[in-house]
Amino acid sequence: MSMEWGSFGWTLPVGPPGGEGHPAGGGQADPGMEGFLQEVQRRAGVPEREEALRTVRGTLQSLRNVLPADLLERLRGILPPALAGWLARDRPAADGLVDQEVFVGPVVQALSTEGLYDQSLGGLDLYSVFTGEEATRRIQAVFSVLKEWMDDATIRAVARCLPGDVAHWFWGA
Amino acid sequence: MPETATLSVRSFNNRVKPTWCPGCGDFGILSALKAALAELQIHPHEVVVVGGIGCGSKLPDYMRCYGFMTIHGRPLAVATGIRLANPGLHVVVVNGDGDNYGIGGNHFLHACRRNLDIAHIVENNQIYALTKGQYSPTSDPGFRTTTSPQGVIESPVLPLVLAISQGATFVARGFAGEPRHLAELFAAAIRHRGYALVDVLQPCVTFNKVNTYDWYAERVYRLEDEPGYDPTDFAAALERAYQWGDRIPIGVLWRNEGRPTYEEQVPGLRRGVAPAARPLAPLDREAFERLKEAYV
Repeated sequence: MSMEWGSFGWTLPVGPPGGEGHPAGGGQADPGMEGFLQEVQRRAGVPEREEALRTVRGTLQSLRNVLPADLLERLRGILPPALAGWLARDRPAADGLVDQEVFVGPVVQALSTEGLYDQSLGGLDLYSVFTGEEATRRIQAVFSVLKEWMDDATIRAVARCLPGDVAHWFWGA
Repeated sequence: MPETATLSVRSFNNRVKPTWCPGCGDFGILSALKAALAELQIHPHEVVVVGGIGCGSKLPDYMRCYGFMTIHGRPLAVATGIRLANPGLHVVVVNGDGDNYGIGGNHFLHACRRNLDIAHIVENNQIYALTKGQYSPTSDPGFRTTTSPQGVIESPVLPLVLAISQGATFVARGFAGEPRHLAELFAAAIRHRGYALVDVLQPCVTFNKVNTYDWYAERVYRLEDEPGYDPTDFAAALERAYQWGDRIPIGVLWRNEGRPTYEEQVPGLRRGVAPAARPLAPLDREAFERLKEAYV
């Protein structure tokens, strides 16, 4: 698993979940997944495949928390197997208290927020001011690709389950 | 709002927009606390949230209820005073790992011993976030930050072990990425008669890129899913409180319902009216002079 190092050596795992042995990870490439990632990368305008991977993973993991079990099962049946794994949930019920802020968390956490550290204690967090907008933009890129894999009924069903402004992002994607 | 109105999460919404970073785990904690209070049908005027200093300690600003923001590490001291003066109020303390397990560690230790009827939520993100990224008492060894450029060399505080061993009568842990489960824990803590600690694993999306939503999601498991786990078993609770790393338990670790609360044992509080409800005597000239002399 490759690592990113910040100014003070933070580790930021960028590899696939569970390492190379995971279905969404290394090993044999899943053409469906690669096509999905390439499209997200293009639409989100992110330079690296790994960034697109983190964005897709974060978005799907958040969807996993808010969608009911039957809808998750439907999505898992239509998405590339390597991506469907991120929608697996061992609990039947969705979490009704996940709002749009909790929804964007897994995507925001993968963004670079370090900026340039000064020499005193503490660092500049100017980047974090923009993380919400950037996360929204990237999530919309994932939504726009995801909707191309869904029929109209599934799109409407998913939109109904999304919290707050996330539903607007979904419709607008 | 009429007392008979059914409460919901919205009953505790105000117009103040949180200044937390987008995606902060504190949003899950805020939603869960509102949901817990609504579920218990505790009205906004019946609860006071006491915070310290830190990102999460700003939570009282973002709720429609009584709130008190104190100085760093001292919300438990203030909450003690509120609790003793006005037992009609539900008191909820909300602060972070730095505020509570660092500078506030002493108050935490004694709160566990005293068993005041207070619900205590600790937003544990394993970092000092408000001051932009220094390591905290609960940071894992090797964690690199601005104040630990070679990695943390200390062993972390074990808050659940400390709480159980020092007599806390309700000890739980939750995860901010699962706010529905968290709300159940908060409701149980508020219902509990005595000191109730809920240590919440709370991702800091800006300054902690190690203990992330993913990291926790891969590791947490619910104690209620563990066959045969008994939260009244002291030894079992202590064993689980030490568990960290690949598997991290969330849920109610320890519960002891039999111990009286601190305020139930104070003679002056058992008699007569609570201090906050006592009428103020009129201050005539003589009483005023005596009062002045008492402070000279």
